[in-house]
Amino acid sequence: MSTTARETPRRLSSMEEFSTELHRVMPVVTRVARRFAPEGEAEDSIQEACLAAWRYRHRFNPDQGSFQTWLLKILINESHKLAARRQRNGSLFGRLTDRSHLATRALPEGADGRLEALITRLPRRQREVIGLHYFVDLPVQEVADLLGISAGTVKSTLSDARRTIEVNLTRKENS
Amino acid sequence: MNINERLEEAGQQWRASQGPALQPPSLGRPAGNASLHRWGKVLAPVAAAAAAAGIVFGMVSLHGSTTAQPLPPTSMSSPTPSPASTPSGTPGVLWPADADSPAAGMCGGASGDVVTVVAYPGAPRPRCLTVTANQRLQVVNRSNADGQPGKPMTVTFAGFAPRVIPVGGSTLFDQALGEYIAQGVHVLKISVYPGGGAEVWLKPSGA
Repeated sequence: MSTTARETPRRLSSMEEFSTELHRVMPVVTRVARRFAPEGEAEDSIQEACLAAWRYRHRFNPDQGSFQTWLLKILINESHKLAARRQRNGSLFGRLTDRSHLATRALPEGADGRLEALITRLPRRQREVIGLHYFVDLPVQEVADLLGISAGTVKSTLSDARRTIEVNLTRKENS
Repeated sequence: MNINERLEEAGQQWRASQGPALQPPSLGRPAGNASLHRWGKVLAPVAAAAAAAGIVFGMVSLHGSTTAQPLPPTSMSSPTPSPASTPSGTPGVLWPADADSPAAGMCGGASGDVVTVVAYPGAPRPRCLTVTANQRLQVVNRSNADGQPGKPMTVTFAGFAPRVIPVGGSTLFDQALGEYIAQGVHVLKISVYPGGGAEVWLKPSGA
């Protein structure tokens, strides 16, 4: 698990600086989009998030958190909006409800399909925490900042989620 | 292996399977400085089209009103109107760009042979699209998304005649973009958006 120190917040005074910051955080942004945006919407959600971030860049306050965290918050909101839109449209994806989007993705080769299936059945907050911590590889504190909860709550949510997954895994393996 | 180790391993496998990071949208120059230049470019073809329409209208009027037949309803709702399937500009001459950089400020790219702009209620998605010369452009009418009733829309692009897309329909500009538009930003006008529509940015290859 990542143990890197939290980045030093910086103000975004120019387009060049904004662009530089954007390039720097794109690996994490890409992972979050691929994990949380509906199937096939990762690029769109990134574009919408970046556009919103650029438009409202004056609202970014480095004293309240890093650029990466701020952008990821916008990205997750955009992903939820896209999922809600699909749901409202009555598409197959939408009818399965937004928690199913991981299950409808094609799993990568060698992926633990049983584990992924159990993750998709978790409550939304637990899914988010598991996804951000284990899959996107964010430290607990950054997950807390991103979701607007305390690090202790993240840890307890992780613990609850692990326990639920473990119980269900054991049940499946015994049946 | 306990559940924590299993999750960590699953996370590592997932990350390894994701490939390289996506590219962020390009940051364009704000359109304000280029507004006069942009309007000049927009107005020139509009003025030419208006002049041509005036000439045609005058000829039809002189010839007699009975020769001006209304278009059949099917041609108004056809997603792929054949009479205007090719740009009306001079062969070999590329349709000039409306601007050098997008007004949207940021512009994302899309892979694939066909790039798609989806017209949702409120705004098209994407609002701005970076394209390459060998890609083709498709427009989809999803004005009925989000529980909206939806309505037919007219799209106008480069030298093509306006196309009417029914609700849920689409239209394909079935020609490589580089064959008929010049490098730069071209406005894809969509009638349901008062502000215009989407921007299509043809960049130099390798840019």
